[in-house]
Amino acid sequence: MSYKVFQLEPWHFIVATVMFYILTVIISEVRMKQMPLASAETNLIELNGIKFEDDNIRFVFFHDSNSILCRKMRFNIEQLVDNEPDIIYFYSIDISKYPKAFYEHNVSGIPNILVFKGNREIKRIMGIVSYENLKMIVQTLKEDV
Amino acid sequence: MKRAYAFLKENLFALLFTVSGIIIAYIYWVNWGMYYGTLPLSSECWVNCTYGGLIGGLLGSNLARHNEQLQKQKNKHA
Repeated sequence: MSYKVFQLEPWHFIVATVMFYILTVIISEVRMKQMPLASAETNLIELNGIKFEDDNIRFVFFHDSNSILCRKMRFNIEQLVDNEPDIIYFYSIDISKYPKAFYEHNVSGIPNILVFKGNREIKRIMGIVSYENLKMIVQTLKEDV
Repeated sequence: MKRAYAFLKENLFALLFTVSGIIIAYIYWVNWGMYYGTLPLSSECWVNCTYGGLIGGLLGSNLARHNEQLQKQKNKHA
């Protein structure tokens, strides 16, 4: 008995890509709504500029205290700091109070985390990153540097 | 079983490229994608790998189609 074999065509992949994009937009919006907000007061060490004296790795979180997105990202960071207080140095700069550092380091938008080794920037973490990813990034950077 | 084998044989190029796309996307995610969360779910591993697989599949199926057309032309001239 002969049968027709299904053949994958380029348009199948194009349709699947478009559908997948729509799906990611929907899922991300739902997730974003479910993400808890950090408290108004941050427990991260607030800086007004960047100048470190030793060669340790430090994470500087650029945020705006009035932005909801930043507060959601701050929740993830604070969770990480609370769970693993011994391994990371996390600082924050509120750009609504101290905009100078934002322009000095060419930060393209907020929320944004700049990773420093001493005073040298080695990496940027842009936008909203989940707690799991953040944990993995911190571990990778700690091992690499 | 025969059907599955026929499907694999017929779409070998597309499937191989899909798998390669997933692997490349995973490498991309580990080195760069993980740090980039500005687009919807763009820092998630499964999203990066799915896009990689889809783009790989698109390239593979296009290439397979192109090969088929070349083969047909050769057969015509022969």
